[in-house]
This record gives sequence, structure tokens and C-alpha cells, in this order.
Amino acid sequence: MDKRLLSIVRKELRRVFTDRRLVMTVLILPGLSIALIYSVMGMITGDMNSQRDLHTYRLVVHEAPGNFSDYLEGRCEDRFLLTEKEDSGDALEASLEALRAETVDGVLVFDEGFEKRLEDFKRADSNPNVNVFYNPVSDYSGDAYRWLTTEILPEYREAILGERLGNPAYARVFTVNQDNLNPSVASEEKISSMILGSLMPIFISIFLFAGAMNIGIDMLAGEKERGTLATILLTPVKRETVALGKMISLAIVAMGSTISSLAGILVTLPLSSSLFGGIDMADISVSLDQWLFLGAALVLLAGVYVTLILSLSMIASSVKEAGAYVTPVYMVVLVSGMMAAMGFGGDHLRNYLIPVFGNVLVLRDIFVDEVTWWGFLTNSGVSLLVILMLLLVFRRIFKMERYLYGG
Amino acid sequence: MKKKALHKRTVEAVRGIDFEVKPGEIYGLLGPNGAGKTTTLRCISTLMRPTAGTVEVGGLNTVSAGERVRERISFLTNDLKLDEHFSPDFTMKFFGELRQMSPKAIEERKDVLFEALRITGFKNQPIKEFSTGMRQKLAIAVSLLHDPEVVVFDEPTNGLDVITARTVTELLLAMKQDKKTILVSTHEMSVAEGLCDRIGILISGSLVMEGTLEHILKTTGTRSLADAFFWLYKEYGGENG
Repeated sequence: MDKRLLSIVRKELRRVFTDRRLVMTVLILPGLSIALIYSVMGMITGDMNSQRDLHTYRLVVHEAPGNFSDYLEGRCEDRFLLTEKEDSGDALEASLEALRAETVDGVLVFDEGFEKRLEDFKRADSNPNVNVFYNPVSDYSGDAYRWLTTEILPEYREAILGERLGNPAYARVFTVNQDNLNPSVASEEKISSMILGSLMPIFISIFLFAGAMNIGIDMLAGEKERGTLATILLTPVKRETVALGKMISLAIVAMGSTISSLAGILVTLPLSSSLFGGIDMADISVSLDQWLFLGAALVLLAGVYVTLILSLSMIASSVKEAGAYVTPVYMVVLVSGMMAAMGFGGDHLRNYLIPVFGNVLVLRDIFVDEVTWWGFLTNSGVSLLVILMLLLVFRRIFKMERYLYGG
Repeated sequence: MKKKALHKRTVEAVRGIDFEVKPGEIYGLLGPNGAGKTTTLRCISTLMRPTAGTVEVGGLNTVSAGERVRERISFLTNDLKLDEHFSPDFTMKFFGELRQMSPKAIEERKDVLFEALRITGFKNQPIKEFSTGMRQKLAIAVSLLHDPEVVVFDEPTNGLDVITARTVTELLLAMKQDKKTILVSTHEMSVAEGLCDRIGILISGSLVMEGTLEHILKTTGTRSLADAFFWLYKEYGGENG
């Protein structure tokens, strides 16, 4: 290897790693801020979940049938605090206002003469109705609504039907999962890797790009603007060597920034796991194959991002202009990451042909341990092609005087 | 150096220039702002390619043998800057490595230049703490690190205080004694008069006259370089250039 390439890489890395401000913003702050934000969010979410577990749901029931209160007490013990009201005129409006003000969590309105109409069940038009109101602004109200409409009221209906048939068991018809205490066939590890697979690719993709963006812009557009690039180009070093040196060092810095950010997530996972579906690090194991695939995929993704950022920075005559060129690409990276995280695209090989999006798909496949050689090789080929093309463009721009001098 | 014509974007910056600088000679390129001095020097230093004609340094074509030219040449201009984050010591080491000098050669040359330019006491300070004059002296040290055969300085004393300017001119004269080929661009008449063996006057992209100071004064019938310059400036339509 050309020793001068190493000199350029060393100089670029020294530029970043001996600048306390850059070390702070590129390497420490991403991990620290993510750790802090996710810990706080995780604790808040965990606290909210435990509060929900202990919350007593306040319901106002209009025209409640005589046995409903007993049924609810027997069914849920003290989880519901019932206030019964007789008429449904002004009182209903007052109840709904209380629901809007979040002083109650739900309002049930039974039809007038509900019990009587139940008794006349043989008349086809006698089926009474229950209206359930909730306030979507309140989490407690949302919980109460789901609980009432999917569990409490259907079970209450089943109990009434049982009475009609003379035996509650007759109305049950069949049970679901009565003896099946563990219906999930997926291992905890698989569940954890599914959650990781939906989260990590977007994190890695965004962190990698964000880590490379500011430094990459400064490395070329900034150096052009300051006049330091031309000073290097006056030495008998091939321009390709200068370009390659900058690419390698930017990739290293971007990887460092990404590792810092991921470390921030992983270190605080015990505190933030409620944000990630209760994921437990103990359930996660990564095989050697996955590590190898991950390493290769990261290098390729870093290559694509670094060549993209440096090519755009090379065209720009100032840091500001470079920022304007790179920001739309950052948007593409964000959208690609989100689409892959939401599960789009993994079912067609052609999607692996799309640069950036395909790279994120491969990362997702690696984390859920479903990577296929076809998907991986297809995307690797495309990534290499993109890197090569951008390198050629970059090399060409590097030789064009009008792009070499900023200002 | 042969005739060249240059285009920068759609502007023809320089045309019909033909001059030669010999070893042991200081050649001054004199001209107003925008005359094409910097473009000419950038072509000589390989930072730009002439769109027509050829530029040769030590018999080497600046386009086809750019790297070899850069091994032999030193180019200093105000547009070229050093990374302010680093110290002079690291900067010299880095540029020495790029020029494939041995660590011993870098150290030796660095000591000589730092001593001559009085940088030694500041060699470990970041450049961002330096004054303009100090930065210029360090830029000169970096450009001369590899002991080049050809020295091209664009406005070397521009913006410098009297003491720093004197240090630079003394250094140029010392290099002339060492038989270096020196090309200096300037718009300061006193620098051209006091320093240069031959002077080329560039107006609106054309080399309108060249020769010794005596030759220029005699040809223009004037008594000072400033008078000669203004006479040529009027004669060759500099106002419209």
C-alpha cells in the first residue's frame, strides 16, 4: 500500500480525534445523547405501563342492569370504579363532558329497559344495545374501551346467554387455549431478533449516514473553502490517493460514530427495553455467520454513504452548498430505513437491487437471521457497482479545476 | 516555458504568453489585479491545465508529467492554506511524508527552515493561534520543505509587515544564490525593482513586455518601473481589460 495513503488517512483521523469538539460531537455525544434519551423514555414508558397496571378505571354507567355492577365486580375485582346514573339526558351530557375532561375513563349507556328487553329475547326486535364512549386522548380511556368491548361486554353477553340456556358452559360453545399456556412457538431469541431486526437496520443506517455527513462535508467542501485541499494537491501525490485516503478515514469515523450510537442503545437496554417491546439482551445471540454478514454489509453501506457524501461535497463550492446537496440524500436514507423497518420489500429479490433501501433490507435479514445468499449477493453486487461508479465520478470531479477550488 | 492560452470556465484568463526563467534567476511577473498572474502560476504549478499551449518545468510537461513537476516545484499563494488545527511540527511531518522524504530528512530540513524563518519557538502551537505573518512564514517553510529546484511565489510579501517581508525577500535572494529557478508574481513595484533580475509585465491576460529593469525603462522611455507600468497599461488598453 502507498505510504502516502496511510499518511492521508492518519492526518484525517488525527484531525478528528485530536479535536475535542469533534470527538465530542461525532463519537461521544451520539452515544451519550441516545443513552440518555432512551433511558429517560424507557423509564417514562415503563412507569406509564406500571401505572396502567395499577390504575382503577372510572366508569359512568347509565341505566345499568341490576346485575351488571355485581358482574363487573366479580369479573375484575377492584379494577373498575362504577358510578351508576339513571337517566340518559342531561346526565349523559355531563358524563361525556367528564370523559372529555379525563375525570372518568369510560361511559357506558345501556338502552332503557335493558333487562326487560333481555327477558323478551324471543321477540326478534327486542335485542337491546349498549353504547360505549371513550376519549382517545387518554391512554386509560383507550385501555378501558378496548377492555370493555373485547372482553367485559362479550363475556357479560356470554353469561346472559348461559343463563338462557340453563348452564353457563352451554353458551361458551368452545374454549380457546384453555390448556395451552404457551401458544407462541417462537423462541424468546427469535422474538428478540425480530424486534432487533425491525429497529437496528434503521438505527444503523441513520447513524452511519449522520456520522459521515458533517465530517464528510467538512473533509472536502470545508477543505476547499479553507484552501487546505489545494495545498495537499500541490504535492506529488496522485489525486486518487488523496480521494481514497479521505474515503477510508471518513468510513472509519462514520463507523466509530455508529458504534457509539449503538453502544448507547445497547448499554441502556435494561432501562429502555419497554421502548423495544420488552426486549432482553440475554435472549439475543448472534452467530459467527451473522457477524460476518453484518461486517460485510456495514462496510458496503459505509462505502455507499461515504462515496455519496464525498462526491456531493466535491461538487459544492462551500460547506453550506454541500449541506444543501447532502440533506435530500439523508431524507432518502431516513425513508428507506423506515420502510424496511415496517417490513416492506423483503419478499422480492428486485428490492435488493435498490441502493440504500436494499442495503437496509440486508441488515434487517441479518438481524432476524433470515439472510439469503441471493439477497445478500445481489445487494453486495449493486453496492459495489454504486461505489465503483461514484468513485469514478469522484475521481473525475477531483481532476476538474472548477470543482477543486472553493469560494 | 512555451506559449499557452488558458480558459477558466468561459473566461479567457491568459493568452499568448511565452517566457522562460533560468536557474539562478528571479523572474518577476508584474500586473494589476485580474491580469492573469495567479492563473499563469496555477498552470505552472499543475493546479490548472492550460486549454491550449504547453507549460514546462525543468523540461517536464505540467499536464503529462504533473506528479514529477510537483516533485521539483514549490508553489506559494495566499489562496493555499494550512490546516489551522495542526502544529507546524506535524504539518511539516505530514507534507514531508507526502513528498516521500525520510523522517531524518524531514527533521533536518524542518530545523533549517524553522530557524531561518524564526518558527522554532512556536513549532508545537496550533496554527490557529498564529498571526498572518507567522502563517505566511510557515506556508513558505512547507513549500520549501523538499528543497525544490523551482520556486513559484504568488504575491509572497502581500499583507506582511516590514520585518516578515524582509525575511521573505532575504530567503528568495538566498535561494537565488543556491541557483534555484524563482518566479515571483507581484503588483508591488518596489518588490519587482529590488528583487527581480527580469520582469514580465502582464496586462489583461497578455505579456506585453519583458526584460531587465533597464531594458523596460529604455523601451518605454520612462524613469521608474511604476511609470513604465502605467505607460504600458495605457498603451495596451488595460482600462478596458
